Amino acid sequence: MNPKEKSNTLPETQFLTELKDGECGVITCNTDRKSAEMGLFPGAVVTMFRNRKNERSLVVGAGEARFLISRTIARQIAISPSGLNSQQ
Amino acid sequence: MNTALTVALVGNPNTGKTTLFNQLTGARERTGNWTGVTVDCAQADFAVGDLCFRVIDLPGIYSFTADTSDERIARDYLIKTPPDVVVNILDASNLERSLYLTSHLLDMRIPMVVALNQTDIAEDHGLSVDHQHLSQHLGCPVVPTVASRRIGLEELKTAVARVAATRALPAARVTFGHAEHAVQRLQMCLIVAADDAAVDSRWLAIKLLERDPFARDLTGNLFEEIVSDETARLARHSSHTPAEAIMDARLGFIRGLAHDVVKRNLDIKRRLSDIADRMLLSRPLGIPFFLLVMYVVFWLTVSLTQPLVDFIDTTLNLLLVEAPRQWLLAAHMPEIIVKTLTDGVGSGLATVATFIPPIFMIFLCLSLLEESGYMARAAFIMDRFLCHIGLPGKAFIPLLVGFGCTVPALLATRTLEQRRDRIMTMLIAPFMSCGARLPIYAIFAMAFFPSCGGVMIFSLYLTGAALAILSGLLLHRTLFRGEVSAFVMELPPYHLPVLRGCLEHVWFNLKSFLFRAGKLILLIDVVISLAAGLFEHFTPAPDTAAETQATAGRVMTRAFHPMGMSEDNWPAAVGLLSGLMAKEAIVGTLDALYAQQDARPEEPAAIRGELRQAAAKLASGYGLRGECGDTATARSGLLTSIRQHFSDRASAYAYLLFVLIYSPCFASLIVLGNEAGWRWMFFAVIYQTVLAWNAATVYYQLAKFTEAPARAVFWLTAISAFTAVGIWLLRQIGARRLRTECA
Repeated sequence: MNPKEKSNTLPETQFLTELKDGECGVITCNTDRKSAEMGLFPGAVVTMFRNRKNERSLVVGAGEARFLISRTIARQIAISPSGLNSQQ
Repeated sequence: MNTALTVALVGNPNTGKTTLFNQLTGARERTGNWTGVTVDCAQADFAVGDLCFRVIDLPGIYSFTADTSDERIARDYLIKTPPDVVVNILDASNLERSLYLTSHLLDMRIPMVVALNQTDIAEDHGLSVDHQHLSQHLGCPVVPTVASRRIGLEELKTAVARVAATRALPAARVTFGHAEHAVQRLQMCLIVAADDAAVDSRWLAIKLLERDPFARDLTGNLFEEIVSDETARLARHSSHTPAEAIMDARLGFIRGLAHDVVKRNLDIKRRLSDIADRMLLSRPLGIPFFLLVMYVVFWLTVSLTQPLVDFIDTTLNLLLVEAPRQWLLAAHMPEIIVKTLTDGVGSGLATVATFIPPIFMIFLCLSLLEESGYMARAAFIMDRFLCHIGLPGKAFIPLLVGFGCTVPALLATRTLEQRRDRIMTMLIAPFMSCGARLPIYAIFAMAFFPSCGGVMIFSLYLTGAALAILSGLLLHRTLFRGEVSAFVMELPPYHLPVLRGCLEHVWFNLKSFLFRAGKLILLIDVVISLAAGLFEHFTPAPDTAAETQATAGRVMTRAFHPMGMSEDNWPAAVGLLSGLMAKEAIVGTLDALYAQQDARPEEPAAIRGELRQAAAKLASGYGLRGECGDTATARSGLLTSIRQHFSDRASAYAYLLFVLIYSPCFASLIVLGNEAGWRWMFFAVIYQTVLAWNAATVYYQLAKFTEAPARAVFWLTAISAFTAVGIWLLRQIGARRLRTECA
């Protein structure tokens, strides 16, 4: 595999906490029932609005809804990065 | 008209459910732009032709697997008293999420009408929902509505009446893929149990497979063996638990449905709310903006209303106390009647009226914060601080509501998932100085701190907040050790508050507050005046009567000596007792008792002149005219008495500290008992009262250190030792609780 191809390959599993501000992803698995019921369920496209390492919570968008979500819960949400950037 | 049929409104939080309830019934229930506004069921009626409907507004929920108290209320209502029709409110701008709850309602097999609400917002966001297609898929009526503009309400009422008449169940039901076999097998086994519990057998089977504790209680754990059997079978075939398989099937159903009926006409634009969040949640701007908002709330509530409070106080005391006293004495009425009508009824009414401006303003500010959507952002800002005392940021909302009134603050804790978080928040919420304490501070500020009253009151608010933090820290390190719980919370979009809605909300709160407080203050004022009058009337020597009364009062003040309360200031001690009924009663009690004790001069007041002076003072207070009367003329009786009986500023401030911190009022204690348990209620009474006494004594002794250093050292040492023992005791109890929980 040449390096160019490698850079286009998406990582296998990422967690919501790994998305940077403005990045999007598709939820592939969510083991936290409450957040799944609130709309962060597999298949939902999420956009990260605020993710700071020193803050306990993240601000995430899913569709028209915005959520304040603890880092502990965000670590239970697996995503596949969609490669989209909401700011573009 | 026929007997009322019941209609339950069920939907996610913040989908306009309460607005729809108000519009359908003409009720004036409180709405807000944050989740958890409805934490209890509200009821009201509407009619369609001959049919009368009783509508029940249930708390907003995301599913029926109840995590929080408000979710439990909604679930229990639907299960235990099934309504004739359920109106499921869907947010058209977020259909997929809303349909999750719909899939649960389909399982429950209840006649259902879907209100597709907020279609205007969906259109703004470039989304269109084909409601007819959705209706075909669900097999029940779907009515597009915009509740805030009354669009679609008549159609909704007609659809409700039609479904109520036919009792038609929705045709659609979710099939559960890999778990379907397990659902069907269990359903067959528990038909009798479901009949006994008056629930649908399929719903019960699904819930048992999801390991729902409520369903297990309903069946008395009788079907555990079959559930385990089916779980093992499913694991062999699909490596999924039944709950996962059920969730997958639900999400598949929802996605398919949304794919069929939702059309996206535009790409999602970056919303104004997102831009605002980018700034208001950022570190450089977020905290300064938050502090600015808090300061503005305080300034509006305390400083802006102060001249108006003075005006109302002076004017009503002249019109309801002084003038009637002159007329009644001129008419040679018996003194007992004069006293009861003037010192009792008149003075009580005047006291209640002084609450109106600050209470109005605090509720207006809270309402604006809620409606604008900033309240939820404040939870984010505070999250980083609250985690140090072991609470999630979400707990900040009840604390902020506590500045209005402690009762709704305690109820607002229902949105917290963990019982530990709820109890901790309920124990520290009363430290947030409620609106009822404000008039007490205001009177003392006028008496002792005329030039820096605002700063003095602000310091009390800050002390309350600091003590809430310290108490939180103490509880987190002793009784409630453990990790800070994680949370998810929806951030509502920013809205421009609708003034009418805000004012209705304020009026609703103000009315209930004034009725509650007014009744109590009037009652206390009348009872005290009447008792004093009767005592004087039936005691041969009036001096002996006054002396007996004062002796009884003096005994009470002994406990308060170390915080600077002198023996002749016994009305202040009695005031604290009446403050247990309601904090607002303290001013009324002081007013009535000082009036008796000091036998205020009853020479006729120049009412017209004083009214003119009060009006001039009001105008000058708002910078309209330069003329300003002497502050002492305002509420001259009570202010003079307070100045006479409290030796100095230190004893007055110590008294205010005690008022700020000591036991919550009866109404709050009853709510605390109901919500947290009576054990915690007693803990709150003892903890807060002991803390209040300690804080007031420490303050007073420090303030008087130079005058009596030996006495100050004695009390400070005693309190330090007592506090150390208290903390050790709490740690021991906390350790024992932890051991019990681990065991």
